[in-house]
Amino acid sequence: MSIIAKRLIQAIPLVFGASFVSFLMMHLAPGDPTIMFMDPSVSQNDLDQVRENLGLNAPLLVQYFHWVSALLQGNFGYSYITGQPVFDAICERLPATLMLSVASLSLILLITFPLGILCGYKKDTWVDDSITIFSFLGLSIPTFWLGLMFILVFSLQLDWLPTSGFMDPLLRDAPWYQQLASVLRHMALPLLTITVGGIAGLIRYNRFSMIKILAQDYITAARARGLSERRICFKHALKNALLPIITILGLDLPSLIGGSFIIEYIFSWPGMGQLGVQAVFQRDYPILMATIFFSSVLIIIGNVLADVSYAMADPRISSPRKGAA
Amino acid sequence: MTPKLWFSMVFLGGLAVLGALVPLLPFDPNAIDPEAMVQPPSIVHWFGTDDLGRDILLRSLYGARISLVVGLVSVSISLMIGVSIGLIAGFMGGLGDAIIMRCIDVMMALPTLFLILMVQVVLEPSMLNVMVVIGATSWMGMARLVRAEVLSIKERVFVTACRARGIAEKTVLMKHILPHTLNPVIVAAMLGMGGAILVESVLSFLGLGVQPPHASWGNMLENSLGYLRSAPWMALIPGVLITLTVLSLNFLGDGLWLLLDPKAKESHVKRS
Amino acid sequence: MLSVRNLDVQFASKENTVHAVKGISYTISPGESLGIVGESGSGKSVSAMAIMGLLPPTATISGDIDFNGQSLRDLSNKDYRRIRGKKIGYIFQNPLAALNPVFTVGNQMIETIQIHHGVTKPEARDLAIDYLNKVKITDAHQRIDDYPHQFSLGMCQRIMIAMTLSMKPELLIADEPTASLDVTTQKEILALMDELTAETNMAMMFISHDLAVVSERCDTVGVMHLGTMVEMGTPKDIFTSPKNDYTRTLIDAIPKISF
Repeated sequence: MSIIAKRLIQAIPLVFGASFVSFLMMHLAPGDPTIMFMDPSVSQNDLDQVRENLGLNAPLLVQYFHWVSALLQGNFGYSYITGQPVFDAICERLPATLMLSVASLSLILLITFPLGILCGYKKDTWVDDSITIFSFLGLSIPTFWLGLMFILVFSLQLDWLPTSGFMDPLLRDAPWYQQLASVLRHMALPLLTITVGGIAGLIRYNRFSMIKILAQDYITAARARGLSERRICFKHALKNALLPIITILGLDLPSLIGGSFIIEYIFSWPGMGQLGVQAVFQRDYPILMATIFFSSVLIIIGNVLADVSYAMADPRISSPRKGAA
Repeated sequence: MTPKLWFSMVFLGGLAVLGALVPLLPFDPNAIDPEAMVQPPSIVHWFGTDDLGRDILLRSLYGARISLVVGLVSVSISLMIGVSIGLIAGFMGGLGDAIIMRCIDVMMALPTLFLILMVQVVLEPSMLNVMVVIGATSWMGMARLVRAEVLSIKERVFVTACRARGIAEKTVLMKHILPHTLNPVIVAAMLGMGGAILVESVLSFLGLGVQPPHASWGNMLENSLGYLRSAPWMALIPGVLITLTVLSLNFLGDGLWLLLDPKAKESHVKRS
Repeated sequence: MLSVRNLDVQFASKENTVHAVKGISYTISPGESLGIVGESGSGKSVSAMAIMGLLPPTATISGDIDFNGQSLRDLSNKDYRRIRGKKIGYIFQNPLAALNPVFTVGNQMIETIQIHHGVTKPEARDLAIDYLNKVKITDAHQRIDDYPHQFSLGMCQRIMIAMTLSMKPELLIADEPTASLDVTTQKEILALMDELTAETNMAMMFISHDLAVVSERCDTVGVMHLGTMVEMGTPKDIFTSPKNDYTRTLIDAIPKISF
């Protein structure tokens, strides 16, 4: 579809912009950027050769160009600490991050949507008031502290769930369903933390858009045709309320992803966020750079997906006007 | 005045007054007391003591100073950048506007937290750096907001009327357009201040913000990590304080928004 | 058929109370048409919405509204739904706003027909197409699957009329049905409405700010001003011997008297 193509093309300069900022950050870091690219085992001779090839005395933009072409070939450099290629390190961590973010995103949508609708529908009642207060609280709680409190309650006090990690290491040779159960138990608390933080903002948006929609003429018109309240709420208002949420989700993505990185660190969830925070402590700049770059790309992809699904869901965009009659 | 607004004003006002007055008291927040290590809340130490026997109430009040100052200064920095860029973009229009907006898109796609962490690692982590870095990475929303306002005000008749009277472009911008953008900016500043306080707490929690022995709510939380089971109050109190402070700012922002903008409910879900 | 006695509506907010309708009365007999004229804010739409029972909860209503001998104000919401649409149809001022933008025209029409006539979906679809043909939508069998924004405003109003008539109401309330249309489309829609009401012989309440439009097609005309019914009578009476100053202003405002 042309909308998808258009959005993808618009996203390309953004990716380059993000890579340029990452590149600039690398120059900010102390030390010689060439070293980051190099397998630590190469000899000084080879290193000089590469410096020559990369043209380290060349202008910044030329250097950037070389860096990007290396990126495009999948060469993100090597970790200062482990010597592992950065690309491999990131790829290793990507599944856990995606797993957590997809799960939390789905959960957030599943919870926010009915609650927001309910709130808008029951505007200014005690239901609305309590959900609104809850959402304000959720917006104000530092997520990392909420994570700590969950650990305190559910792991340390009640001993229901593990405090951190991905899977019980003793289950390395256990059947897959036991492993899965263990992963799910480890995921429960980080998932809960991210979800509570994510729900809060969205409920408020959802409530506002629902209130706005319920004041529209077409809702009164539907009532004037004798449709039931249930039908008006769950058919006529719901689909209209869904549309702005898609956009808002796209806009909220950076804070959702950013927030989940700290949560990964708190719960030692082996994703990109944990990798990145560790890299901060270890001054492992190549890894840090790649984390910044990869998460920007994730955010850009998320935004493109949001725009495209909006365009497909809204008939005013997907079904063009035919000749005026 | 709603109960929410009363709560916010009283809480923030109280915190500010206590934070301002606490250095006048003859107590040292960093005074170590080996006799009173890890004590739960009591008459002597209302909020208990930490692992070095320091009084948590006292440290919390010093932390409030840090949080409020960091919030205010970061938001002022982000206001200055955001408002000027938004004004310029909205007023220029055309290609200049398009370029600025694409740059903002790039900035918004970056994981700001990592950017901040990165800068903090490279520079020496200090309170000044924390404020500058938070301010410099949080102005994008403000710029978008101001630009959208300028674009809509620019089309209104009174701006054309100003030009028709031969008033200089700069005067039109500063004297006639800028004041109209103030209401949404004040609201965004309230919410932004809450955001800045949250980021500062994350930075200090990771040890990349305010450095010990200076007390900040974030580094008090970092300190509490080893005592989560044995001394939960060490983690509980700073977290509750952060939450209540940010909550008050959010309430204030929301209340002001309803107060300043009668069409608030219509214009909330808007994308620039 | 419809009898409204001492209808009074107030809207209360924290700051002030708006007295929108101040004790008005009127009756409509089967097959009869009542025109209500007044400027915006005179309370004419509010009184119509009160008949539909669709005023927001902030409204305080008093007075009697009887429909076919039944007091509408005592009805439960469930019973009211059997009146809305099925017995009393309502045509809105802005047809594009009154159609849900994210569902096709057919979807909304079929849903309405199914609820009120208890027919199957294919039958409802055929009926919907019939009614779209009646309001002169070309290629109705194809365009039924289009979304509201794909039609012009005038076409949307035709669709609203088709949808309202498909429920076969006994009373039709038309709330400024042409106010949002341009002049030529206004004429077309009015002609269409005249044709269809003549065919079905249903009663009608026609709300407008245009005294001429109302006088041309209504048996009785009521003039509303600031929430009160200042004058009521046959169009001829109103034009030849207006008793009220406000009515006189309205008559003077008409460029040429077309009757």
